[in-house]
Amino acid sequence: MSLLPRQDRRYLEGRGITVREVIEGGKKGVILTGITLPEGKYQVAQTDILILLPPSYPEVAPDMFYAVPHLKLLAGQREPRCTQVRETHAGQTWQRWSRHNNQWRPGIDGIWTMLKRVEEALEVAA
Amino acid sequence: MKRSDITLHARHRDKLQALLAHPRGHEGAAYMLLGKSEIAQDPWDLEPRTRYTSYEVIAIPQEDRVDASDKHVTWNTNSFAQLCRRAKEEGLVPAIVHSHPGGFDGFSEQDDRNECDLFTMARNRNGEGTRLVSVVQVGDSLYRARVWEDDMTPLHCHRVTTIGTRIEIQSTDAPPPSETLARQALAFGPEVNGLLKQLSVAVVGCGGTGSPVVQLLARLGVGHILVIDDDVVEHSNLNRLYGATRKDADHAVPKVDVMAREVTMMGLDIEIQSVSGWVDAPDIRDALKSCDIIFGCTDDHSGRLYLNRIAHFYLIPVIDVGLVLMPRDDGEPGLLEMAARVSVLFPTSACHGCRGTVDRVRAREEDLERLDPAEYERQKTEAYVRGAGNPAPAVVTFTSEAATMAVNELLAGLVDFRGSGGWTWQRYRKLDKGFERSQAAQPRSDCPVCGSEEYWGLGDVDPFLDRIG
Repeated sequence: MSLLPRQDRRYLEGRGITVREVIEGGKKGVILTGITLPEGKYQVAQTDILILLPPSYPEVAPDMFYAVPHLKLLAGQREPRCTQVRETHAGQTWQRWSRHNNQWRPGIDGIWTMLKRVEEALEVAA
Repeated sequence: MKRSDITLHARHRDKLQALLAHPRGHEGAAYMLLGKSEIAQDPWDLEPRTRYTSYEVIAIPQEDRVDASDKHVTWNTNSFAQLCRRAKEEGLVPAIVHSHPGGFDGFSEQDDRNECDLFTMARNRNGEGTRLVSVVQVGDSLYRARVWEDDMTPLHCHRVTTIGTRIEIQSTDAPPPSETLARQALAFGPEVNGLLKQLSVAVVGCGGTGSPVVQLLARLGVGHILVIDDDVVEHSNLNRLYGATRKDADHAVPKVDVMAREVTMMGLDIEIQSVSGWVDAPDIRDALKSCDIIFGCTDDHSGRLYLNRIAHFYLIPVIDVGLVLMPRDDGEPGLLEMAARVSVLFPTSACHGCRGTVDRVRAREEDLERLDPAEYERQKTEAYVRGAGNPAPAVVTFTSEAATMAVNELLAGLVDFRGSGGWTWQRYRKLDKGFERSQAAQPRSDCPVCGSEEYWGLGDVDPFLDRIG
């Protein structure tokens, strides 16, 4: 059994990203492990990112994303804007990055688009 | 004996007819790749069965053709090995098609021997569990089929259905004529009652539009009806829910139970099954896959996206009903817009996404509300999701009119009563102005569902429908 649609699986394999599929109650998602963070910006160099996938994905967009450990900006020693909410998934408490996503092009966008959004959010966080 | 049947997309049937045609009436041959739909338990006879769906028609290369006459056709099997390779790689079932232009309705002993050889070859190559489907075109338009599986005796398919803008059923077990429906036969000819009797039709959503759809289907003589809904009768539904009583509302009876009770009480020999639950629940999949047609009578965007995919993966036409009753936005009573829409979703036509008949953001919010109501409420207060707002207006005459439009679309797929050869892809009736127009929409070339043929007739895949689910 696999959770992700075929195109997503092919993409993640191609990029060599390690993925853990999580199913908890009715909720499904993927944890992308060891995502490299912008150098010198956070208290750690790598993070795990959880992306919850709605049942109609990949036709509809995933919304926000979640990080463990809870990321803190080195500058100012505080959490980035709109990351204060905590949610528990897969036995861990995650830092919710409330980055709303209503831009989605079915058939064009997939896990690659979401990963790009995550990387961009981590890059520009303040 | 395990039953199996085949659904041919009309464009594949047309291609087959062209490939098999010969000016001097020689036998012809072609290959196909089929998707497979494994039904663990049919909701009516409770038996497992398999439905095959046409995925691709492949011409036998000219260089492989050896010889043909009006009595035989012979070809080299190099290309058959290629077909088996693709079938294995793509999770499809190989099929051989040949013609009996002289009209012999059946498989000959020569066919038995040839197919047995090909099946052995396929199994040696692709391993245990390999299947081979054989289709014969009798004359120029009748199809019979059988499946080679496990042992060396092929299983006959009880039915070959062709669907494009019409539904054509070729069956080896046609039902006897019905007295109850005699006057309907006077209108449409005797064949239509037999077709209706053989159909299995699902109705998803048993509210304002779904409940009259169920009533109409039963009184038309649809043999097998499946109703799906996860709601109970409420007092505010009573004015438009056909068959529901005050007592049902007092006791919060599931809507599907009311539908089943009312149809059973009609005494029309209709087999109705009901499932209470959300339409994409794993235990409901089998039931949906068993159907020939699905009526989408929900106002839920997430449910619409789901049925949209079912139509394309399983070649099951979805007749979707939508009612637009938009309240005025200036605080005065009355409606800005009132219209009924009926759309038929099926490969070659635009899907819900390309027609603009679903709101995908709304679909995501509905999913969240269903799977995690607490989180949905929290996001609502944080203004990340929109509230569902006030209840939508509803008028029984409008919901019933939309239901009638939808069921007439099914009829248009069975008999040509409009003289236009099949169903209209989308009808939009302005209820206030009294006119109707048919709407056209083109599939967007980058649409994952209707913009390419990748999913059409693919059948079972993992994950189901290639979505999260």
